[in-house]
Amino acid sequence: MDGPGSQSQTPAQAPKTCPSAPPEVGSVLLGVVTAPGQVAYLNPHPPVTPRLLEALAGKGAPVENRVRFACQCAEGGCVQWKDEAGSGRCGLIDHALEALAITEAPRTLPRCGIRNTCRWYAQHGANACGACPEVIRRPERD
Amino acid sequence: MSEHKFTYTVSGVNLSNEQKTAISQAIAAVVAEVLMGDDPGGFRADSLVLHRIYGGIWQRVADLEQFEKGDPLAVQLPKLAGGVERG
Ligand code: SF4
Repeated sequence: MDGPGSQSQTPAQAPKTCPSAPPEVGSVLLGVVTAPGQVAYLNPHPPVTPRLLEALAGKGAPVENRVRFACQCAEGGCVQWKDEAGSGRCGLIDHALEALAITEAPRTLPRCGIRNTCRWYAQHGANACGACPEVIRRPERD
Repeated sequence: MSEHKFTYTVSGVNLSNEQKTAISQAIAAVVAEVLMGDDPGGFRADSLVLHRIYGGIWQRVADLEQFEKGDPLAVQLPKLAGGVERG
């Protein structure tokens, strides 16, 4: 039997996934930043536990700089959210696409495993996937 | 786009769900560790360096630098009115 609410939800209304989530219990491991502008997307996505975070931080690498996480999009509960009449959108990916001047989708898309529900993909289609590996949650300062 | 798939099989014993979760997490941690390499340093997002995420809000770097210098003429950065950064 379907879960609560599933009968009345269209794919567009289904909860979306944030591909730049905080490293906390409730998130899953999405990928590893292997170089600036390059993410190795992992599949499946193990859930974040304190033990996993400890292991990731083991080498002293700043986890939010070197690892990407995903979680359910918090919409209005996130400061990136831009409210619009009757709906809203993630401001981060809008800004990233503009800053990177991305107007075309990459030829091949990574198998990130969350495309069906990805908030950024829902807003910008495959163009978002061009900006996605550029996003570092906590960039290193000068 | 390159893709690499690894398979690891445990046979002959019944694993509990907790054990399966612990193993898959340990594998993921090792994969992440290998991918991070030996350099524990952080990366700059040079391509996005005109803006930075500050307190969860996307800011122009020029505004942010003025703000950090304590320049009284600096643009007021928006307050984090109760929002929590998720993205
Ligand atoms: S690659 Fe595309 S679909 Fe996947 S997380 Fe990034 S923006 Fe979303």
